[in-house]
Amino acid sequence: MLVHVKLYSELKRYAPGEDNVFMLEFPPESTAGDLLQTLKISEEVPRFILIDGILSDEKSLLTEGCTVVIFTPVCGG
Amino acid sequence: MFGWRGKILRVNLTKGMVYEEELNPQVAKDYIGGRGLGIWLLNKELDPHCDPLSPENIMVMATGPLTGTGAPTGARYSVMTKSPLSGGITCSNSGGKFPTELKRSGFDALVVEGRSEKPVYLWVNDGKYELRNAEHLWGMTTHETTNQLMSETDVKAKVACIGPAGEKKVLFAAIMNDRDRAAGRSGVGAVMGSKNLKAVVVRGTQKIQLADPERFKEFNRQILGRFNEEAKVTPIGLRINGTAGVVTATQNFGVLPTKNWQQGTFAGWEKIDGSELTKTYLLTNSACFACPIGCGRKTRVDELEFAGEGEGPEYETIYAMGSNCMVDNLAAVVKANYICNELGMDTITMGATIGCAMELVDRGYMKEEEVGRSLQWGDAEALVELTRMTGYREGFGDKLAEGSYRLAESCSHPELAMVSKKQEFPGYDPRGAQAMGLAYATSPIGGSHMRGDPAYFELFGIPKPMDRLAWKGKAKPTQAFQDHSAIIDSAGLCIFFTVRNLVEKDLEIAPTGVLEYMNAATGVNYTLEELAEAGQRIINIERLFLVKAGFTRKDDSLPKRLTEDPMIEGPSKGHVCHLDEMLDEYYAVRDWTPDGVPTPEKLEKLRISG
Repeated sequence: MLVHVKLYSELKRYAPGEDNVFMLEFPPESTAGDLLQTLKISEEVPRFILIDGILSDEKSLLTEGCTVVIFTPVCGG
Repeated sequence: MFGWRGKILRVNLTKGMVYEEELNPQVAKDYIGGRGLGIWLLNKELDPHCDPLSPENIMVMATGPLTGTGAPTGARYSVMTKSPLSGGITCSNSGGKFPTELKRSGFDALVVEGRSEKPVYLWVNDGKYELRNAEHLWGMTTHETTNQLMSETDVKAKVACIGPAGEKKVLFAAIMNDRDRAAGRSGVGAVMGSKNLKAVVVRGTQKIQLADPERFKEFNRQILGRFNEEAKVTPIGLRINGTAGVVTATQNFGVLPTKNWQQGTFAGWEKIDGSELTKTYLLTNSACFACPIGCGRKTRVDELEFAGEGEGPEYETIYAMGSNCMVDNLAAVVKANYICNELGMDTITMGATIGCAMELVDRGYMKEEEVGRSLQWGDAEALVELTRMTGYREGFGDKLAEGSYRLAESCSHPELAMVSKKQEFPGYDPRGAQAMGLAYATSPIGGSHMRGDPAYFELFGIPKPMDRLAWKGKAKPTQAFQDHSAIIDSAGLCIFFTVRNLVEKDLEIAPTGVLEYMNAATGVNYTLEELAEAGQRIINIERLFLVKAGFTRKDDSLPKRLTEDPMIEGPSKGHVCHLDEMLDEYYAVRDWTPDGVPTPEKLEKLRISG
C-alpha cells in the first residue's frame, strides 16, 4: 500500500531525498514503527506521529493512502 | 510567614496614599496567592457592576508563595481586575524578572484603587514606597518608559508599565514588564491607564524565607536533575523553536485558525512556523527568573520595511496575526508583535480583530472607505499599519481598539467575532479539539488558553493523550486542568514546566510536585486534597463574581461558526464543536446548577462567602 509521508522541523533530515514530502510503499498490516525503521528514525529521536491528523504511536496501523506526518514534539502556546 | 511575605501594599490613587496591610494567613492558605489572592480580594471589595474604567475598579498585582523562591519557573505574577473587554473578572499573568523583584522588595501584592488626578508611578524600593509624578512619561512607549524609569530610580530596578495604548484605554491594552513580557489579556493596561498609573517600579534585595530550606533544596535538586537528564535525551522543543513551533502541530491537526476561523489549515504555514523563525530572525532564546526552559525569543528583523528588534513572536501571535489574517510574511508578523509590545497591547486580540475586519470587508459588511485603506486577506502592510494606528487610536484604529466583538456588532454581524465573553480565542480551533471549546466557553475571563489548556492532552499527549475529536468524557479532565491552572497561577509558577514535571502522569493531574514545593516553602503542610480544593475554591469564587455581575450559561458560549458550521477542509473536516453536550456534563462535574451557578452547598463546602 502507498503511504504519504511528511517530515517537518528537526525530522526533515530523515527524508530519503531532498523533498521532505514523499510517498513510500508498505505491505499490508504495516505500522508506524515500520515506517520509522525504514526512515532510520531511532527510538531516541523525539517525535510526534500523526496518521491522518490523529496523534498515533509506533504500534498504529498504516492504511492505504494514509498521510503520516512526523515532527519534533511541541507544546505551549 | 514563610514563602509569602505576609504584606500587601495598598495604593489609593485618589487620596495619593500608600500603606501596608498584613496578609491574613488563613486567606493565604485557602487562596494560595497570585490569582487566588486577587479574586478573594475583588470578591470582597469590588462592586461586580462597576464600570471597569472608573475609579471604582480595583486592580490587584499579586505574586505567589513560590515566586522568587528558586522553584523552577517560579517567576510569575497575576493582575486581577474587572475587564473592560469582557465586563467580567480577569486575570492576566506574566513572568520575566519583575515579579521576583516585587516580592524581594517586601510585598506579596499591590492593591491599586481610585484614580490619580495626574499621571503618577509607584516606586517601591526595599520596603519603602512613594508615588511620583509621571507627567514626563505620558505618551512614551513601554521601552522608553522603562529606560527612563531605570535611569531616574535604580539601574537594577524592574519596571511594569503601560504604553500609549493603556493611556488611551485600548480595551485590550497590556501591562508590559521587563520591556517585552506581557500581562497581556483583557485590557488590564486600560484599567491601569484609567487610573493614571503609568508604571510600577520595584527594587528589592530581601531574600524570601523558606520554611524548610534543606527539603526545598533537595527537592529542587531532584526535579532539576531529572529534567536535565530528560532534556539530554529529548531536546526541549520549547527551547529550540519557542512556542512558535506549535504551528507545525496545529496545522497538521487541522486546528490552525485561518481566515478568521473559516479554515483549519493555512497554505503558507511553513513560512511562519517556529523553525522558520529560528532560521531567519532569532538572535537567542531567553528565560524568565529560575526557568530551565528558556522559551523566550530575542529576535531582529533587518528587512527595511519591517525592521526592528525585540522579543517574540509567540505561537498565539503567529496564529492571530499570521494564519488568521492569511499573512505569510513572517517579518510583518514579527514587526506587528514589536509594535504591540512597544505600545502595550495584547497580540491575540489585535490580530484577531484585524482578521475579523478583513472578513467584514470581504463580505461587504464594511467598506474599505471606512477603514481608510485597502484591507484584503494577507495584506502584511495593513497588518503592521493598523496595529500601530490601534495603539494610538488613530483613524480606523479607534474602532479596532474596541476589539472584534464591538467592531463586528457595529456592522450588525457580531457572529463574525471569534470570542467568548467578548474576548478573542487563542489559536486552537475547537472543532478539531473539542475540550478546547469547553475550556474557552467556561474560562472565567473569556477566550483563553491559560485558564486550563486541554490542548495538552488533546493535541500534545500530556500527561496522557485523549481523542481530540470525541466530546464525551471531556468535562472531567477539563475541570482538572482548570483547577490545576488556578493552583499554578496562584503559586506563581509557569504552566510549561509544571504540567510536564510537577504532576502525576494521568488526566486527574494531581499536583504532587507542586505540593512538595508549597510545603517546603510555606510550612503550611497542605494535604494533596487541601491543595486541590484550593484550586476548586479559586474557580468557584471567580464564577461567583461572574454570576453576581450577571453572567449565566448563555455567556458560556462559542460563535455559531464553531458549533454549527462543520470545518470545511483539512484533518478536522466535517466536525463541529459539541459545546452544549459538554456543558451539561461540565456543570454536573462542577456541582453547579444546569444554568452554571455554584450551588450554596458547594460554596459552603469550599468556605466561600458571597
